[in-house]
Amino acid sequence: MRVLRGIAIGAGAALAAVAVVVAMVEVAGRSSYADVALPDIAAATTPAAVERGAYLVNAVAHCPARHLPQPGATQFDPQRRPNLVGGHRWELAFGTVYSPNITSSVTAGIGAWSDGEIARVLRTGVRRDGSLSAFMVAGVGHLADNDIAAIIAYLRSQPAVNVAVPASRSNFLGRVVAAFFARPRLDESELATAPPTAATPERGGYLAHGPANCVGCHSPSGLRSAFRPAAPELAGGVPVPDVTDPAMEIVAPNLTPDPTTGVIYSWPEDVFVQRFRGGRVVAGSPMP
Amino acid sequence: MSDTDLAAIWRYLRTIDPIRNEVGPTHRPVGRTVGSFPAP
Repeated sequence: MRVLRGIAIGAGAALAAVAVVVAMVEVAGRSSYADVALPDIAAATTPAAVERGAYLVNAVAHCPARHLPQPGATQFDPQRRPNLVGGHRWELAFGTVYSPNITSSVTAGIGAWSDGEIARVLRTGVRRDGSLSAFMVAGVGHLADNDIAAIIAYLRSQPAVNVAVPASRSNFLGRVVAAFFARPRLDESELATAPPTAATPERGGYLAHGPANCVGCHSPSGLRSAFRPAAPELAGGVPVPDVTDPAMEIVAPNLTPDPTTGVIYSWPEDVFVQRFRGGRVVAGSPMP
Repeated sequence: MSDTDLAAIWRYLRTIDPIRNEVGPTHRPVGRTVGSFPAP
């Protein structure tokens, strides 16, 4: 009798502990970061800035690779500057994720967002409603204020496409990740102006950490780094799914100048440039 | 991306510290773990 009573008490305690953890996840997994300050950045107004925004969005940051439905997302032509209607779907261990419509539609896109709200999601990953986009935390680099202003101007110049995208759905595991691992990017130093366009290491370092976000895929990242690139930076990434073949995965190579394992160590500058002119090497790769 | 910006990235990559890390085949069957550094 005493043994049964002990078992019952133990089971009850275990159930209570599980209930507490589930409650913590359900509450913390829906955290709001609405109190994260809106950056004091307004959309640029000059045609040159809008054009620079178009270049950054399409040719440098490759936003269409995420903000278009498949298969267009992996076949987009940066020169055509497609409307970023969203709808790219990922079936992940922590839920089903759809990329949002980021055209100027007031009902389905970001037409109702303020400049500050767009700047905030670009800089920190915090959406207009205060929720956090882990994809924006991981997928967008550290942008200078003037580049954010140019990107906002270009996004606002896109025609409104009033097609709503299904809401993303996170499962319990997704809420565990949101509760205990995902965090907004709040620690980046302010950078008012991007280095001027020139073939300098300074400009290259900005691009690699900012609009091109080379570090995002070519560095280790995971739960403990809150999905942000960790050391050793640019020494190779972690496996990501091949979106065209579930049996395959893709790993971003080591870009450091290591003579034996650095993939571009032996590449002259012109070979590196031509690599990007040749288009996608692997159909299901995020690398253009 | 423009040739100038690509050249800038290439020149930046030449300035960073070399790290020895063999990631193995970059397109491979799922689960074939290669590489010196575990995911953080």
